[in-house]
Amino acid sequence: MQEIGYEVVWPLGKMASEKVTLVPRITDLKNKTICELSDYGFRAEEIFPILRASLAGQYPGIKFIDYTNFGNTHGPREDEIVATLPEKLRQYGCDAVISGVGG
Amino acid sequence: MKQAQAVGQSLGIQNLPLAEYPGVVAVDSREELDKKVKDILVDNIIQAFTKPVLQGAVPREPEPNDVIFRGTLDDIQEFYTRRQWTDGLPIIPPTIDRIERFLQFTERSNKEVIGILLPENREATVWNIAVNGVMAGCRPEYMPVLLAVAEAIADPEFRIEDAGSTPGWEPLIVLNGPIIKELNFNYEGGVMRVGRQANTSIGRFLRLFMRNVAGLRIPPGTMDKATIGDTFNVVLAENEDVLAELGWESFSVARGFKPDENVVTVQSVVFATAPIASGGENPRDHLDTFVEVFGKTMSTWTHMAVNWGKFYPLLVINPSVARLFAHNGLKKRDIKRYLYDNSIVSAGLIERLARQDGITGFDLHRMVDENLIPKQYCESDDHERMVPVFLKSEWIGIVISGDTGRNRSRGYVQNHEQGPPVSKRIQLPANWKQFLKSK
Repeated sequence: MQEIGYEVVWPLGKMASEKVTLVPRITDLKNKTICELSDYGFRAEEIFPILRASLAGQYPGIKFIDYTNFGNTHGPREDEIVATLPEKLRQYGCDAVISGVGG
Repeated sequence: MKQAQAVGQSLGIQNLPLAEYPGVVAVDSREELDKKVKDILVDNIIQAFTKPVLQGAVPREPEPNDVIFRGTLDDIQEFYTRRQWTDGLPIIPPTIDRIERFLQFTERSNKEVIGILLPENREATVWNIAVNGVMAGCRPEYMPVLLAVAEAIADPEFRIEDAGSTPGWEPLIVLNGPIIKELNFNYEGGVMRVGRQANTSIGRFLRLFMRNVAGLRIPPGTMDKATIGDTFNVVLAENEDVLAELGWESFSVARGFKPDENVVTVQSVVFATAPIASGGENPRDHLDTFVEVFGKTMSTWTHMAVNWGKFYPLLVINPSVARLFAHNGLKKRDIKRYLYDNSIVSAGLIERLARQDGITGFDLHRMVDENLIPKQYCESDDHERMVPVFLKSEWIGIVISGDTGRNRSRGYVQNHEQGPPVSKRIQLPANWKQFLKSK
């Protein structure tokens, strides 16, 4: 007996995103301003100080803006805090961001 | 890392620069953490900052009504399974003919975009709701319910983007209104079991829709990071006959809808309590048992509630117990108030659970200072001080359902700001009455 054949369609939906082009990477971290973002979890309070000390030892003039200046980016005021980020990052003269940990 | 990369791609960023901390940070000693950060993470961060990012082309995808495959039932199962478009169970082939039968139960254009589902960032449309409804084994007449369910999870308040978070929560659909009987939903014995087509296939639809449109797939997929997780929930329908008998308001009326409206509410569920067998003729005995089982179970999640500032636990009360409460003059709001007033947990326990859960910056004093939680959480520095399990009494949901011949109730823990209850009215098509007559 011949089995019935079916013609079927795609169960997904159109992607809503548009391609984002990243800015060129930094070639040297000397004298750069690094902003930190955190969800106040996953031992960020231990990890960020070690990172700062290690990177400062390798790159003279590197400056860090502590994550507490921005607030919890993945907490009860997430929407409000994330909305203020572009302006705050500009204000601090940010060259690059470390966003973490796990957030 | 794979999840972060995939989320970046969904947002249009190919090859998002990432820096990995190897292993599980929550279980490393301070010495291990120090060594891994200095020896590995710092170099990974420098690489991510300085290495050029390669940008690839975005692959072309099918149009909604393109026929993408032709084959037998077995061929189709294999084709969809290989692409991770099924939930591991056989599907009904989504043919144009079957989809059109679903579309007859809505007056909305099949091209209408209901919302955008993160994390995969795809359009939820009337069309792909029907496609996934067919695949899940729904009947065409379930389409109005499917649309309302999709609208609920597409509402930004629901935060579908967090449905792949590590606690592994699962959405639960609560149903109210005349449609419960019209579509033959179970609201009695075994209400939360698979077995009745309406409850089961609509529950399955939601999980399948989350896989295919939100992209939440367990391995070999990458977006669902549930550590252990759970299976999909069937639809929880309230016993509105008992509500009418007792003069109690329904779950949807408590959320601001009219009694005769058909309403779906979708909310997250992380885990359930033990079955709560409460007995005796004194309502206080029942309430104290609820505090003991429901309150204590919820207290193991208070750290998350407090950290995120939201908490909507759900209590399903058995009709026989609800009758006893009602005959003693109690309403749903009285039960919520008693649970709120009497369920307490030590501050030390919630601090310990929070920190072990990865919220290492958890600090009740800071949260009070920032007006994130009420002052009563920090009335002293004593870790043994008792604080409320629940954030607000009105945030506790109560549904009456289950076997009318027994006295077991059950509670469901909700995952704070992720999947708060979101309700949507079910829009019936003009031909609904005609459909009901033809049944």
